[in-house]
Amino acid sequence: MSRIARHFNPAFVVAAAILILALPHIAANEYELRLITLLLIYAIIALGLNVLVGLTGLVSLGQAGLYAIGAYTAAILATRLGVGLVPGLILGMAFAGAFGVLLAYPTVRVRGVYLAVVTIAFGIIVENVAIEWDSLTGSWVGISNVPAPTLLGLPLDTNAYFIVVGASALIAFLVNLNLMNSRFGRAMRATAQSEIAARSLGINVVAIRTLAFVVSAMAAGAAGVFYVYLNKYISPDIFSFTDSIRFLLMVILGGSGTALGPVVGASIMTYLPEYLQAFGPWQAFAYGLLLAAVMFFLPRGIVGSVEHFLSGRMAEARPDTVREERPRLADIVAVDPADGSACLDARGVSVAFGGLVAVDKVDETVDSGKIHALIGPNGAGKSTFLNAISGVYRADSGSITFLGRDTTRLNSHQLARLGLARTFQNTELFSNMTVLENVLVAFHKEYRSNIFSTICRLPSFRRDERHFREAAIALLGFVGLSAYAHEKAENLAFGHQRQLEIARALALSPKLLLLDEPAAGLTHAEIEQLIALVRELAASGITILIVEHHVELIMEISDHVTVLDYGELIASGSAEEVQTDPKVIEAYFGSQSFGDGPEPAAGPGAGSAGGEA
Amino acid sequence: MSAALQYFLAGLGIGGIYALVAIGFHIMWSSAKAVNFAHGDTLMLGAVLTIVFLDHGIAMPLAILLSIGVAIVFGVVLERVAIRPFADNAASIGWMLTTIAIGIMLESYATIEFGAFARPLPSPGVDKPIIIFGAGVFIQELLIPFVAVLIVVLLGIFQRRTQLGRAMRAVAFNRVAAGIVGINVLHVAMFSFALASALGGLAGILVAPVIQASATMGLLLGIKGFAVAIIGGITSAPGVVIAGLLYGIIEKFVDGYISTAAREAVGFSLVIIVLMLFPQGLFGRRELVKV
Amino acid sequence: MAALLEVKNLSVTYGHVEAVRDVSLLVEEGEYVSIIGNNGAGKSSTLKAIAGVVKPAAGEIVLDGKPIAGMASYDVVRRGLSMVPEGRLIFADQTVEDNLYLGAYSRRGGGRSAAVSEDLERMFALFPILKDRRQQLAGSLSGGEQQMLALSRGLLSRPRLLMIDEMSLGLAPRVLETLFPVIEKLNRDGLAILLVEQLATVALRYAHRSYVMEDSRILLSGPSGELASDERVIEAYLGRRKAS
Repeated sequence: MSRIARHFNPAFVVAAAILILALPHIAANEYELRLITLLLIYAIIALGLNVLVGLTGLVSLGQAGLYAIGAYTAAILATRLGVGLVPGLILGMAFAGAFGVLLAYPTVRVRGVYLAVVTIAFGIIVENVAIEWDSLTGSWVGISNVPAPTLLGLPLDTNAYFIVVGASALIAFLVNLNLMNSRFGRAMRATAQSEIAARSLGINVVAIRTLAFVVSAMAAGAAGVFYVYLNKYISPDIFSFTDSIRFLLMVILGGSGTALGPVVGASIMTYLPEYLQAFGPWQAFAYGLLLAAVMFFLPRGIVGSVEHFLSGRMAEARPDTVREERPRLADIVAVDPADGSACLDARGVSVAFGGLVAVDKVDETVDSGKIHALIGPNGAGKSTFLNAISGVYRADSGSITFLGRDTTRLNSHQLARLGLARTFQNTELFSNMTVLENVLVAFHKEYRSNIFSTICRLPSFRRDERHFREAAIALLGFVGLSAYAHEKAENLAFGHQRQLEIARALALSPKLLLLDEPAAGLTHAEIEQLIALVRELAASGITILIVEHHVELIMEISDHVTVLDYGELIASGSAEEVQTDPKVIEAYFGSQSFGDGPEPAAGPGAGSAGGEA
Repeated sequence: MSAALQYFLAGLGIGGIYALVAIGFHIMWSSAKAVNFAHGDTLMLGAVLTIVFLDHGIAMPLAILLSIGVAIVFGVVLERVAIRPFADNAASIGWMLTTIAIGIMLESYATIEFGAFARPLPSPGVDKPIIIFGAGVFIQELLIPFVAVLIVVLLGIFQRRTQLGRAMRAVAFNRVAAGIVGINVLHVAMFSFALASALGGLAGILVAPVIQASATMGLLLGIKGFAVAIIGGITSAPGVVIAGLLYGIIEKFVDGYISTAAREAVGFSLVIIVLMLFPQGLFGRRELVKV
Repeated sequence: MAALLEVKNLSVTYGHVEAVRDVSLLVEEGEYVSIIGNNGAGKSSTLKAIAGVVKPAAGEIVLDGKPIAGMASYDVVRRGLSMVPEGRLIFADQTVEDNLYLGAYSRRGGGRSAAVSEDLERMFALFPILKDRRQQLAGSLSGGEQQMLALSRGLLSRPRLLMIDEMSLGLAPRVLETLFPVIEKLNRDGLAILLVEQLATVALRYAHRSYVMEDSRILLSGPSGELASDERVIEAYLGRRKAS
């Protein structure tokens, strides 16, 4: 999706800059130039909102509130204190950004429609505070007589102001674009697609969501400031719930998650009222109809649909034939040789849901460099145990020690940063991202370049990006997926998806790798490959804890097997030992003494195949 | 003292409306895990159509029934065209925006046909206020919370005593399990939207004598009803009614002692605070996510 | 005996995962058939496709000579095929009695007729504990009691074929000792049973015929007695290549 945008980057910037400089001379009249200025202001909001909605997957129905905060800040500063455009802009953005942090906080606990309610409520609060706080905001009358904008002490005429707004819109566009194509954008998209996988790769999703809210809030604040100097007058009715919906529609209509979409959406939504005027009283009706039509016929938006169409055609025309020597894992990520100490030590871990005890006082020690298996019948508590030690669930009692430190209370992203990586039962890939991007997400915490150098594309960013891109490609080569680097993860065959998930986990330079049913859904040949891979990983020093139903695989590769049943540990030992353990046989086959039928029970434990043999 | 009582009684009145709207959201959410964001406009439809029918010389009871009938049709059609096609979409943005779009269309159409002005719905309940300990209150305002509580009680009985009601609860609890015992989950969703819309239309008719009917009356009532449903805990019918009544009372007090704009600011701030403290709402059930 | 249920070349996919590949099976009138195999072998998905809970990607499902593949679950149950789902999925927030009435939802009149009440009594005779608990919330029952309720609920649609998904899941052997004989009795009275079960010994003891699934396919099938002595069944379960 971003591939197209990345290609025309420098040329596009120059072209856009020329266009902005030329437009005051092309525009037919003052009114048209004003309209284009307004368009660019809307584009700034929409570009910011795109970071929130399109990248991070959070819907805000209160963006008008942030727009209002920027606008009122600038208007009050200008009329009361004579503060000019630039300080007004900085303060307006800072103030709106602060409210962005405030709005992001609820996402720690609520999402979806619950978050929608929070944002709606926020928008309405701002609108009504503007009405109520008469002494500051002028209530319904609003604030008028906003002075003409000045830049470095020089007054700006309509044309000059247009160029300032145009340059700002171009900056907003580049921020959106550069953010999108960076580790931050990838982390945002990853968070939107699978929060649990993002966490498991060491991404602090709360921080990422806060960042998205702040970026979108600052953009809305900046747009508010520009609007004040364009309109010279503001009042509360410019910042209603309906306006929040309009801003959201700009993003959706243009194509959320795309670089150009918000600009296209803002353009249409600026000019549309001009055309809808022809409908007279039916104007609002036509607007509603348009919104419905977009949702039904263009859910990807205009730019999104075009890109989808193009990428479908490009995918066929791109045979990736990079066939190099298979790299060594130790050359790509850091792996410590095993020293035989305890890698993970769980003592008396219990997890209960409601009244149901899913894991009951389980002790488990995983020695470093070993392949440790966890088996048991359906519902035995294996996955729950895995989720407890990887920080997805919190153990109700017991303690967990990882690499010698107490990690009982740590979150999954903290554990990931310590070197605990995992895969998921039903594969939690970032399905809309490319194979390469999936792996790059896992390098997020390794980057040294900060957000400033990322947005400005400073050398430190380029160095990091190049380095980790190479590492990611090498990792894909290691698991045999380099031919699919630019394919979307969802288009991979299932066996490849499992491999990708392992490659992604390896990017964390894990000390301990948890594999949750890695063989489920694989063919025999793929299982053989998996066995070879797991052995290779263990040999290079990565400790493995594997939950699997596929008994053959377990018996073949495990150094140690633990068996759970009804949440309790019923056996622990070598593969041979647990295989002949009567308790294990009972858990898997059913009780030998079960029932009162006339025939003798089939007794696999006795070595014969069945009672009647 | 009489002022406080006045605010309390008036708060119960408007709170009863929020409660009725919120029950509708609860019913829709239970069956479809989605709601109609144009539900506020269902209220408007009920109120405005009743006045239009009265204008055409139709008797009040019949006008009310016809309006509620139209509201039901609206809810059913909306579920079919604006919600069901987006049911698989994990992000709620699809049905949120389609139902908002339909709300905009309905509201603007009503503005064209009905005019941009507000008109009261005549009702014997607002003829003259009755005085209780110095507080003047209309019968209508006392009637509304009574109706809201009555409806939630009736709904409870319906959901316990009738096969269709049990089916609604079954669908809310687990759609797969409901399907395998033979419950057509699509029919239940349709019925739920019809029921919610009937209650919405009724709420509009009940409130119109107090706040006047207009094409734009629905937006804020709908938003507040939804906010109330969320903070009450959208999975609990009694919970949303309690939240609705409380919200109405708090609103009237802020309105009375400070101002109308402060009313919205304080009210919606409370919504955010409650959600921060109780992410599932005050009386809601937690929905566990499995990996 | 005639074929009651015939499944031909059934495939079920979730996204890219093929959970069921080219599975064919047969249940005759009054027969007791089991599908055994390890977790993740595709047993449950096969059952869910037959019951209409998931849509099959390919294949035919014929009940009583009529195709039902792709039909919604609520229509399938009306044709006499009832499922007791994995994990029981009882309506925990409703009473035991209401759960049972919901089981009769697909019947004419929506389930509150004299005939339904009679069947309710029949269930109470089968599982007396349910009668004692009839006004209790289903969620307050023990695991075994919940399974009894799920079975009774499934029976109240008066099916000709009852499909049971992982009956033993999470239940203690003692509980199973009371449940399996009940199923056997139902079968003796003429009800066809299709049991999906992880515990092979139990399933092979009761079912007339069985299918062994592994890796989304049917590996073996035949009379249960023969399968019980088949080396490959044990391999599929405990991965022992050679009998030790």
